[in-house]
Amino acid sequence: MNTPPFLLAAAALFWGAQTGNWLVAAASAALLEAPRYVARRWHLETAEFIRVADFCTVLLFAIAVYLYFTFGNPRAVTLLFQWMPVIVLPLALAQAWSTARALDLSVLFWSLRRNPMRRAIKLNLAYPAFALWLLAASAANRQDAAFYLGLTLLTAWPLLLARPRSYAAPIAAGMLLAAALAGFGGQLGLHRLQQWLEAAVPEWMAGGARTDPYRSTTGIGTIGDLKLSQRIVLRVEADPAVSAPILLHRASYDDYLGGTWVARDARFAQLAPVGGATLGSTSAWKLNDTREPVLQVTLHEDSDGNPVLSLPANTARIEGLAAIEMKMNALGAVQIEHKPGLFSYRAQVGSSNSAYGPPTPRDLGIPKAEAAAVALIANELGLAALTPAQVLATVKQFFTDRFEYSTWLGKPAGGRTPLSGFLLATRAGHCEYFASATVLLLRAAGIPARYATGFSAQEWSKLDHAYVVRERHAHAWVRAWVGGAWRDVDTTPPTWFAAEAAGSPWWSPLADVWSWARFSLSAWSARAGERGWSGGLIWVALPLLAWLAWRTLRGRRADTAAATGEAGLNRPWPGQDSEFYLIERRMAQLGHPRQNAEAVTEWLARIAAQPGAAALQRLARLHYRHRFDPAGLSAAERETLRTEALSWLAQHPLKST
Amino acid sequence: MNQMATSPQELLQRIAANIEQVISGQAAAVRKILAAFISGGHVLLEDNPGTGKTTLAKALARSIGAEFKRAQFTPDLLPSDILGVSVFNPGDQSFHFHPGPVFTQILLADEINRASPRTQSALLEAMAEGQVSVEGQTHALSELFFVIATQNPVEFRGTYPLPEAQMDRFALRLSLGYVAPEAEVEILSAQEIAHPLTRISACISVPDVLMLKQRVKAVRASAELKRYAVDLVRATRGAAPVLLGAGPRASLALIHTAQALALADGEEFVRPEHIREIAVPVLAHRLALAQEAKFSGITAQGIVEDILKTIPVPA
Repeated sequence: MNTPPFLLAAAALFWGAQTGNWLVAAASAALLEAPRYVARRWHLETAEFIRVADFCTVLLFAIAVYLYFTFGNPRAVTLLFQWMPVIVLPLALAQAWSTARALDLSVLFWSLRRNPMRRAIKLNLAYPAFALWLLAASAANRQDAAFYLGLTLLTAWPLLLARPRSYAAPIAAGMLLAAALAGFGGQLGLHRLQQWLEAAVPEWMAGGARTDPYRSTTGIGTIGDLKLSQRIVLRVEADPAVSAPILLHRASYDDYLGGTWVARDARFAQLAPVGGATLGSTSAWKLNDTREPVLQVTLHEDSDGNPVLSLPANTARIEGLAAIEMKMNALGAVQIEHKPGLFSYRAQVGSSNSAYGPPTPRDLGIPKAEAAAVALIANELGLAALTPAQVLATVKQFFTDRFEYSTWLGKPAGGRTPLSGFLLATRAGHCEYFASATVLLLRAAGIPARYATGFSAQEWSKLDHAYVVRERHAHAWVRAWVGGAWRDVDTTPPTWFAAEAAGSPWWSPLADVWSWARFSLSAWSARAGERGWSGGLIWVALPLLAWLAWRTLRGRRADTAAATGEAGLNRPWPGQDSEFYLIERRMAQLGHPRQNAEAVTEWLARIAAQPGAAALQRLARLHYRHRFDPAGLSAAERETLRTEALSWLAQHPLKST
Repeated sequence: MNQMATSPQELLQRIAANIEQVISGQAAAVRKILAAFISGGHVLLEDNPGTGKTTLAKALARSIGAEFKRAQFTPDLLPSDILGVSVFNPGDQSFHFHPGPVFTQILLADEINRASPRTQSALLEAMAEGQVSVEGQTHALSELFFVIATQNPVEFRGTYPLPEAQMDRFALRLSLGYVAPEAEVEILSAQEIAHPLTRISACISVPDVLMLKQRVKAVRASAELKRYAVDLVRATRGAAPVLLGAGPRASLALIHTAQALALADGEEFVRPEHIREIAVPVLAHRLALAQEAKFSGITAQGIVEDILKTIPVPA
């Protein structure tokens, strides 16, 4: 390793501090720096390095698959990046603990193994490994000044040591400091710019299936085809008594403002787990006071962090959820704090929903822009004279008979708002139109109503033995206050579901199988974790890794005479028994090894100032005659070489006193 | 002078000291030239004009009481000007061979790369086999025959690069380089009255030289070091920008000159250091590099030095 002492260890520990993996970092740091104090080395050829590199590649793929199935993208990519230096650690250690000071490039590039370069290029892994530790530390994404400070110090260290001689250390340090400060300022500026951009153009930042419990921007008024993805976001195992479609509620809104539904004053209140719970373990939450939960729906959800739960109407309890915290608003949206990835929970469905607040005056408000059209239809249907139950039936019939479902929308004619145009002219639209229009009609008839969003579960998957819910199954409907309770009213023609399914691409089944495989593995891993197997896959991976490691080091005996280089290994030349080699090894242990391409006299000249070196000249002459003179030594001279070498060794012990 | 009592080491030191009177600060080069001389190899001195190549060659020739001739190579020089020519004698109505300057013991081929390749090649047979064939007649050369050639670097005007085959006939190629400023001042002072070359005289005799040549052959080289020499030579063949590596003649030259160096050190066997010392002068001039390598600053000398650093030394 050609890095300054302890630089690699510092980089590894910095990684540990950033990612929190202190133990791994400390062990790596010790293993990487220990060769400075231990003379023992393995003699590894390029072929062995290639095996170690292959081992790292297999490890990389295994970990990539494991991370992908456990955490999903993009978390898996970040984690893989974060663990990269540990994955390639075997290769770095192989170099550090071997007699080789650099690796052939063909170790890293498959193309070079088949077509070797005419002049092999050697690569010392020390600095690449150093850079990898720093990059991986950045993947922990601690957005604090300590990261920047650590990064600056760690990069300044080798740069200062390697500075051109013409720069004095203070000048070089000053320039590095200036660059670091400028970098910090620039980075802060970029952060500000991003914040400003996000505030200025919020729709750029809108995410896929995320639900904002405060605001739902509908597609009402958007011209063109409404497109939603095939991705499976939920799997629903329902009690047979629950009939499809199951409306899974995420959030409700009470105020309509030109295409956007807003939840006013819907502050969240924290929910406490039933009977208290320890952090991270699964626990139950009670949403309302229903005495006897009647039905059970199990959901497996895929989210990108802190999701709003999808719950059937009248959910009384949520069980089996390992959330850090759960909160709920007056309009029935339940949000949890949870890391991205797959998670599961059971929703116990009761018979009433006392948890959601009673109607407020806002649940009867009709925006001025839509009032005329709504009043016209309300009069036409004679809603004012009907009972609430009759109103619901009439409105539903009205939409079923006279409207059709369409995801393609043109421009509304005659200066009408898109919703008025839908009610009076086009009479075609998607679920957001139907739900919004229904809310306003019910309100015109004096029935408090809210706009509800979520998913409609009705696609049965034989593969999963469950209902699968895709992103395109996102749905909007109405929650109406009838008979002292909130009831779900869905006026969108049931044909919408088939119409949406018709647009599936040909590769959709393949994507479903992939999704199922990922879900199954994740579920298995989670179950294994519950049983205390800690990681599950580890037990499959460990024997495999052990086998690979054995294959790599098989037949490689530890070469304690590392410093003698290749001499003495597999060469039938005479004089290999010379005691001078013991002296050479002792000198290496004392920190003065002979280089591989350094003749003995050159070596002795180099270390002439070291204690004991002067006495070696005569011994080296004898040794040379023993080795290279075909006439060899006489028996007496051979004995002299032996005794003098041993007495030198006795005079120069490893631990000087 | 009692020759029997003088060791080869002392003889060689005596020649070196004699040459030192004329050309100072070149002890390492003189040592290698002498090694080539007594091991039967020819030497090519390549350097900028005015660095003392010719002076050194002449000093060596004079230090040995041997027959010495010089040939100044020019573009219009013909092979017969070097080898000799048969001239018709009207007296006895027959052709008589008039030997050229090559029929000598020490030949100084000055500025050899200024002659045409045809004339350069005239030396091939003489250098490799110690004989000259002219008009179907083979004439043997002296047992001591030694060519010391000088040349300016090939990039200079009016030069023809030596053919690879001719290059291969030289055991060593050496560069003298410019001497230190103090040494250069000394040169000025030394030549104020007369050129020091005029002052030196032969310090060893031809039989001494023949004895040295015999003693070189008696120096022992172990199989392991022969293998080391071969490994070095073979490595030049696989190096990246090398079009043509060194051949087996290079391995021979490497071992022979290493034996001579061992003799000069008073040793009876070759040490790895001898091979390493002589490797660059023996190998570098035999490598033909790809054109792009020359442009990217890679030199044959650098390649050989790299090889010396990578191939493990027997120890």
